[in-house]
Amino acid sequence: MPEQAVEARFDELEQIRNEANAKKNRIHWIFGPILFAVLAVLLMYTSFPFPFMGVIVVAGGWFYFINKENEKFGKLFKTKVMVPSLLKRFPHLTYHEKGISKEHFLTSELYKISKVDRYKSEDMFSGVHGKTKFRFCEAHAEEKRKNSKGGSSYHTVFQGVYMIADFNKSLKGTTRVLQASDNFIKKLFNRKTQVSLDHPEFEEIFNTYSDDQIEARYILSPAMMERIVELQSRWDEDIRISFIRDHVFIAIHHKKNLFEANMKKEINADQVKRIYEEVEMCLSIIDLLDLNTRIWTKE
Amino acid sequence: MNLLIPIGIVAVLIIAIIVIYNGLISKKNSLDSVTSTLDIILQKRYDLIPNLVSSVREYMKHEAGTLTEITRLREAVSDGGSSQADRFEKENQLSEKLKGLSISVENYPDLKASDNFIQLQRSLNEIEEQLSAARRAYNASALNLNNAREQFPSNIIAGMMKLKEAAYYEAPAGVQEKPDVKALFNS
Repeated sequence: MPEQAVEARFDELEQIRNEANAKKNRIHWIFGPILFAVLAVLLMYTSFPFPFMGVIVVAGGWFYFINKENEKFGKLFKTKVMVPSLLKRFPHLTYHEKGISKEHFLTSELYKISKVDRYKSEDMFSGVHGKTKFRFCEAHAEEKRKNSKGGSSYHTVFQGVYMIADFNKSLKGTTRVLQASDNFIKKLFNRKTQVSLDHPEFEEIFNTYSDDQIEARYILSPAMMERIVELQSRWDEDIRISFIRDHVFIAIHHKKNLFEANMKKEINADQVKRIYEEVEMCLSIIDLLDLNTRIWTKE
Repeated sequence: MNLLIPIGIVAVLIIAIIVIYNGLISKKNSLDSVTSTLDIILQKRYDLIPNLVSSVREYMKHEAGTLTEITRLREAVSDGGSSQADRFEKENQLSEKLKGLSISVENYPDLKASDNFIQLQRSLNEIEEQLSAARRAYNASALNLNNAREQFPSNIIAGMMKLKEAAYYEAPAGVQEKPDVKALFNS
C-alpha cells in the first residue's frame, strides 16, 4: 500500500481533480454549442468559403483546452503522488519524465529508420533489477504517409512499452525476433538471414532473423524460446525482441497509456496500486526472460 | 518459329539445373561452415578439460574414476580416424560425464567456493551452451541438405554430385531425458 505521507496528498489531488473536471465541463459547454453553430452555418450557407476550416479550428481549440487540463493534472499527479510512492515501493528504480531517445529506439533495429518520422517517449524507469541493468519507457513511433489527395497523415508504427536491458550472454551479432509474417516477398528477401528453430509453437508465432545462425541458437535456447512464448501469451500483443551486442531490446505494442492517473476516477490508493502493477508487469519481463541467471562467462 | 519451343524448354531446364546445383552447393557449404564452428567450440572444450581436471583432482578424490574417464574420452575424441557419427557419439559421452561432474561438485563445498573453479565452471557452462547452439545449427543445416538430397528433382542432381547423407548430432541422453524429480528427492 502507498505510504501515509503520499496518502495525505490524495485529498488535495482529489480537490484539484474535481476543479479540473469542472473546468473541462465548462470547456465542453463552450465549445459544444460553438461547433454546433458552425456546422449549422455551413449547412445553411453551402457557398461559405473553406467550409471545413471553421470546424477544424473549433474542434482543434476544443481538443487543445481539454488536453491542456489533462496534461496539467497528469503532471501534478506524477510529481505529487506517483513518483514518490513508486520510489518508496521500488527503491531500486529511478524515474525520468522523458523516455528513451529516438536514436536508442532505432538502435534495436526492430523498426526501420525510414518508417519513424515522428517519435515521442515518456515515463522512463531505469535501474538494476537483480543483476540486470535496464530501462523501460512508453514510446510512440509514427510514419508519415502521403495520401492520394496529396496530403499526408501519421500512422502508428509502434505504441507501447519499450525496454532495453543488459543481456546475460556475450554477443557479437544481431538477432531479431519478429512476429511471423506470411509475406512471401519479405520471406524471399530475408531467407538468407532467417533462422529456422526447433520449437514449433515459437516458430508459429515468430520469425527470427540473424547474421549468425549459431549465435541465434545460443541466445534462443529451447528454454529461452519457451519463455518468449510465455511472454507473448502474458501480454497477448505484438512483441518484437532484438539481441544486439550484449543488450536485449523488447518492444511490446500496448495501446493503453500506462503510468497515468485516471481523471475519471477518484484519486485514491487504487490508482497508485494500478500503477504499481503496471511497473511490476514491466519488471517481470526481466524475471520471465531469466536475465538474472549469470552462469556463463558474462557476469 | 518451331525451334523456339524446344530451345525455350532446354533453356528453362538449364536454368533449373543451375539453380538446383547452386542451391545444393550453398546448403553443403552452409553445413561445412557450421561444422567448422562446431569443431572450434569442441576444441575450446578439449583445451579446457586438462585445466578442469587438474583443479578438481585434489578435492574430488572419490571421483577419480570419473576424472580418468573424462581424460580418456578427451583423448578418444582427438584420435580422429572414426566416422562423424562415432565422433559425435564420443563427444556426447564426454558432455554427459562433464555434466555428471558438475552435479558431483555439490558434495564438495570447498571446491564449490574456489574462485578458480567458479571461473572454470562458468567457462564450461559457456562452452556447453555454445555447443548446444552449434549442435542445433548443425542439425538444421544437415536436415536442410538431406531434404534437398532426397526430394525430387534436386535428388537427381545430388545423385550426380555424389552428395553423402549428413549425419545428425543426436542430443546427449541426459539432455533428452527429463530429470526424475521423485528419484532426486527420495535419494
